[in-house]
Amino acid sequence: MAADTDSTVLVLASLAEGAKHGYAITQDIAEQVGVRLGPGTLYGVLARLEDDGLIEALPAEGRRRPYRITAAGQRALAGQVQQMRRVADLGLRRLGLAGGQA
Amino acid sequence: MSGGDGPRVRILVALFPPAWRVRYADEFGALLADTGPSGWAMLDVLAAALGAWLRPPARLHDRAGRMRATVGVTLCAWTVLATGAVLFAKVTTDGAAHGSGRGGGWYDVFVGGACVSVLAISVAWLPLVVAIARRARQYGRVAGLLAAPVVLPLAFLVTAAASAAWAPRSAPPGAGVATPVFVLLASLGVVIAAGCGAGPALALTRTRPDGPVRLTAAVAASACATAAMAVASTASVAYQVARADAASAGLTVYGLAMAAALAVAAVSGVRGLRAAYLDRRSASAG
Repeated sequence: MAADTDSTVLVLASLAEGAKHGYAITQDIAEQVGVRLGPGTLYGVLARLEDDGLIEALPAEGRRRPYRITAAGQRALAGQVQQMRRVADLGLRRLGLAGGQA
Repeated sequence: MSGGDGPRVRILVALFPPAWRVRYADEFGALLADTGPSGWAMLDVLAAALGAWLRPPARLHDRAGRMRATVGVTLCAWTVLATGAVLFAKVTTDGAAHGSGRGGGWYDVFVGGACVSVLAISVAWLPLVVAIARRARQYGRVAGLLAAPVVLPLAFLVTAAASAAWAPRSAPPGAGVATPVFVLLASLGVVIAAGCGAGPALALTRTRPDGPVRLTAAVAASACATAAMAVASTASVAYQVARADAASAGLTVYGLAMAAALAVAAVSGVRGLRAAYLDRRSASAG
């Protein structure tokens, strides 16, 4: 299970590619990042993101309902990943692994 | 939810709050059916359901509905507690001087707590009863539900009086009805009490009289009534313990039943107070 903030970023990053329903989001995250997001965790994140206006629900397709990232969600994701990049760069520099060193 | 979902999926979805289910049950059930609810996924769902109860999504939090539910649940729990208090008073006053001697102070606390509790529950319900009665014509049968706390105790009193006249007496003359008849009457009294609480609670749910100030006041008064009844119940147990050398089985059952009813009222009260607080906060922010 991913931590709460990580789950939010993972879901937003998955939806940044395009609208997806719950199962497609979990599959995408598992394939791209190797993280298994539990169904309860996923819907907790979806409900909170919808509350905050960072994603919006689209009309249901049968029993599945796709979700789409909003403009506010894209800005929030951009802010998060830029901060994560700064942290990653700092860590790589301090470990002497920056610049493609193994 | 789809009828094709297995029982495990239906149970897992049913763990979430009603408002959450209205919004997400279909798609969440579909996801569970797609992924297959493994042991790990079930734990994940349990944790999420607990989170949804403790911190429901703001958009889905029906605060007025939560407050109505709290006022109704508190009344039902309160009637059980009040029945316990009446039974306690009946058993302890039959053939025994009370209010003096060992534990007499506890008896005074019991009486005081019970009186404050009755006052608080009246403050909580009188404005609601007026609001429900105004809508009675529109909703039919509501008047009958509202009348339950009057009609049912009267029916019980008639039954009790008939039992006193016709039922077999216990061995010493003047000691009242035989024990099985008393237990039967006491059980009937608990059922009647449940009906007294459920009638107005159902009427409140059906008519949905809003008015945030009235509901907030009702939730606060219900919480006070529960707190006062908690004091009274605790004092009644302390009184019995002070007078008896050892706790009897009857006292243990009485104490456990009171504790269970108080726990239900307390949990519902906390949730209602939280909804009232959030309602006031969003009203002042808006």
